[in-house]
Amino acid sequence: MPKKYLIADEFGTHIGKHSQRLRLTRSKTREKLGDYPLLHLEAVLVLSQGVSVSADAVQACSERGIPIFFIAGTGRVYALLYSAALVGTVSTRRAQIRAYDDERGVAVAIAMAQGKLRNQRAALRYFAKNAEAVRADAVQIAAQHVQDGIVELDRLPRTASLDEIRNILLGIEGRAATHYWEGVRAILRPTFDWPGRRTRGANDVFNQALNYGYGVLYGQVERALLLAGLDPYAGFLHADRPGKPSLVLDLIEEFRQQVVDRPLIGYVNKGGHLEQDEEGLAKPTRRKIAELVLDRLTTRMPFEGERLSLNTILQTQARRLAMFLRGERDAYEPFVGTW
Amino acid sequence: MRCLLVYDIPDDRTRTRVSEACLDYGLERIQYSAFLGELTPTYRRELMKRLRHILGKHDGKIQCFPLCERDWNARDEIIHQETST
Repeated sequence: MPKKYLIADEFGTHIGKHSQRLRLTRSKTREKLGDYPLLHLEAVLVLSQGVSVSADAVQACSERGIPIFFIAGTGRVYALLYSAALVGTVSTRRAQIRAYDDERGVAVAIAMAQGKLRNQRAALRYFAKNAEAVRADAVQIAAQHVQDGIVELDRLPRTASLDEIRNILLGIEGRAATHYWEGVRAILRPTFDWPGRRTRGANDVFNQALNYGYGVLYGQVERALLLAGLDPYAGFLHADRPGKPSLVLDLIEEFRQQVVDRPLIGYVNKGGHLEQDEEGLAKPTRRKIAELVLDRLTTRMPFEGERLSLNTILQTQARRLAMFLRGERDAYEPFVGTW
Repeated sequence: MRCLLVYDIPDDRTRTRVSEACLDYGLERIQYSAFLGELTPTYRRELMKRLRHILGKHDGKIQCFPLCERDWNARDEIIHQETST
């Protein structure tokens, strides 16, 4: 298999360019750790401190549209390097900003919330099939509660302004999330004592793993939005706040369950180990999670009569969002995966 | 498709450039002058074009063989490694 991702997770390594390949070496000894043909490369991930990247490598990547992600220990993407030429998209951005104040913004916010809840419901039902009877019941009940949220979303008025319905939307989402995570708790092996979902500042290993996985996905979503010419900082469901890429947070909702929750839950339930050290997740664990998420993104699934990788579907959704905002499509349909 | 690429080139510099090109296309070195790997038909054509260009007027022979699953599975191998202590 050609190597699709370069993951630099070791202190004191260097990413350089050699011929048409990226080369990972140990800085001190010049020892070669691996060659990655640019031809097959989809992304470069820097997961550790003390990693250097040469200007040649950056240039080669940006010319080929290969993004370079810098990801902190918590999963936060603190930098994303991309070609500087991706800014000629004024008409899309103008449409995006304007859409906030009309019915398109409301439609997008509701559609994305719909996508999230439908994926949550599907995820729970999928896992219930494989769980033993007692736990399966608990999971099914959780799925039923999420279903209630979907019905509530359907009933929302589409004519209200975004600011009027945001709190209602977030309320429905929040209640569904509580039930969803209750369901996930039932799915996880009983021996795996999980306290429940915590977001920031979580110190148990599974929550940290989820946050890390979302971080990796987050970078991919941001990339898809940028490629579609959208501004990642102007969202609909999530309110504007300086420095908060709210559109990334909006679009990621359609993909969290498929891309992060499912492989992570599967990994843990099959006895996979997640380890912590003083700083949080242990290095090998971070790498493992990044690989799980990136592998999952290459999985193909049916999408409107075709079989496309989740990566391609993510990009398609971003493009369609842009088209809808520009008025070239009549509706924005959220992505709901098959399970 | 899985391809076996072998060459025989006397000139050192040309040989190095040919091997670099093979590595750029993600082929794996299985012997000093033999590479193996997956190539789509397009990449295969592209690589051969580049190799033809590199070889230019130098002496040499470069061959690329596609291997079907059946032939691949029928391969024989004898590998002996001197155990160094």
